[in-house]
Amino acid sequence: MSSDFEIATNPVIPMSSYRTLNTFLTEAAVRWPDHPALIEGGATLTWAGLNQASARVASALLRRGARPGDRVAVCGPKTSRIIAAIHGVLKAGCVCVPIDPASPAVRAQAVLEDCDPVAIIGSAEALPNLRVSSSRVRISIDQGVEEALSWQEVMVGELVPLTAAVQLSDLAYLLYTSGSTGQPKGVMLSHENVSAFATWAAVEFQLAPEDRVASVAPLHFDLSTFDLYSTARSGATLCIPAALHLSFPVRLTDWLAAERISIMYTVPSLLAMIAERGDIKTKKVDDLRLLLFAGEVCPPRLLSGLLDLLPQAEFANLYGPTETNVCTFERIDRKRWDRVTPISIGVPCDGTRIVLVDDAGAAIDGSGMAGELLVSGPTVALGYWRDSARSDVRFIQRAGERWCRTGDYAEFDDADRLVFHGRRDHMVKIRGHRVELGDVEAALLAHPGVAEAAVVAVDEVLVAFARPSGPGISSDELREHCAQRLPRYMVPAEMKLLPTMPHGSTGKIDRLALQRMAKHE
Amino acid sequence: MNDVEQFIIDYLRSRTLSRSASDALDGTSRLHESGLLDSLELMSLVTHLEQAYGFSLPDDEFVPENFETPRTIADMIKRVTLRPK
Repeated sequence: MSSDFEIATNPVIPMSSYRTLNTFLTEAAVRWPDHPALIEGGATLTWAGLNQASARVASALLRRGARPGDRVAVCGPKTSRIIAAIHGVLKAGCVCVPIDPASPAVRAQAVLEDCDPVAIIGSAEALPNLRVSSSRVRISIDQGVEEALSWQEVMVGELVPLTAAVQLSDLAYLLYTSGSTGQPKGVMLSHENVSAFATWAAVEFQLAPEDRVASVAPLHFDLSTFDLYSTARSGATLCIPAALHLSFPVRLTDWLAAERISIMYTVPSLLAMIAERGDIKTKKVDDLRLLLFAGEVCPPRLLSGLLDLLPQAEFANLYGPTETNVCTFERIDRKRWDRVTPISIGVPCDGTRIVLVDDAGAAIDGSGMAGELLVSGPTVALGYWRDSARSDVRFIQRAGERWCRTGDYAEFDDADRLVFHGRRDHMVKIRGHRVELGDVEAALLAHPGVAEAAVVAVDEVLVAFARPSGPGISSDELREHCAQRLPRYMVPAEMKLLPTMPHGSTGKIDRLALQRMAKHE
Repeated sequence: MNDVEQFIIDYLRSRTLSRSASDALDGTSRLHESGLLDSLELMSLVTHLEQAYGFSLPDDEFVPENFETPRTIADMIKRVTLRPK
């Protein structure tokens, strides 16, 4: 029974159409065997080819004692081989643990020790630094790494029958997020979790074999599940840019044009890079039909600029922490959106239910008052790996059903669409008043001279950081701007202008770094 | 080593937590292979240089060849800032 104030999108896609992630691949290999699955540089791998390569990886793991449910760590720059390796891990019924190749050694080690992988698959550069006692198999995706199987050996290895049938309820991924403490925790995603998202996205945005999807999200970031599995579900082609293309805006737009990319899913920071420096006006990126963004709040001015730069493209804001993957979405309506109002996070995805609750956990109607956003549905993760205490706090039973507390605050606008307010842990008390840091950030972003903004609280004092979009803006002017829009207690006591904002490995603003800067100055 | 080059090295040092990577940096360090410059770090570096030296990097100069080492970046800044407006 659903409680009052709950909103839901009734399922259009029957759950019986969900497939395990390995089935997406085997079905793609049957339906589109000769169609390109992956394009990297000048090389193409077909769906049949990708399926065969992943079968060799699965066999190499199983012949060396890996069992379904065992974890396999995967670490290296994004290449066709590393993607084939991920598919191979899933084909073997094992659990994929992507490790950020740029992560500090201490963090990578903490992840390895937490997940106890039976095998580690990595690049020749990453592999020597990744060691843990549980690991019995090492596979190099390049050549010549001591004590590791080379990719060539794996590709000619004997194929073994894949006996154990993978179930939708089986664990597919552990995605490690840092959380507010900085201690990595593994979010457990089942095949059903990822499949529900990939299926919804493929259907909602009508992916087809003709689509060419840019693979820009790192593999340890949940955005990459769209890249890998929505393409497999629909036979679309995933195009992998060289790392250098991703760093140089004009090279990236040149690549988008040359590869005739039709779909890209990324964080607003990367969109800002393209919009500000990609010379997108003169590049022929006419094939780009869909831009999906998620991961952090997209400044209205950035989206407004992109709507003009890419008049042919559709845009959608996807919302959800790693624990729920994408649970709500807003397709940007070019006619309706006034280009100033913060971008809505929209309505629940297919089969997902949403409720807003007050601090006591009681459902509220959410108009004119924000509450914590709770999510129930097929994308809600199984919990945190080996951390039932944390899982019990975040994943709760409510009226007989399982809900995830997102830790985010939201309310409903007049059109019953969700408006994001910020993180629960960004809620602070200033002189007894409850202050949502996201609201202060929204006020800063409303200034035409601010490109990026973040606010932290140190000892009940608000410290604002802003990156100006051009010269000629002062912190006094920004304070005045805030004073005109916010109650006095919400106006930051300190206003710091930064030439650049620190970003973490997934592209989001690094709030812990800002917190440290605020404390040390 | 000139001032611009040193300025770039100091900036890169301030952005890395790795002591060994930081100590090893000099004017000829290969930046693309170093892992010190991912896409967002590169954007930060460019913005920082533009503000420090009062120029606006033309899109056609924002290319990998100009960012191979601190020295190539410094050379590029000299070229761009001397270019007639």
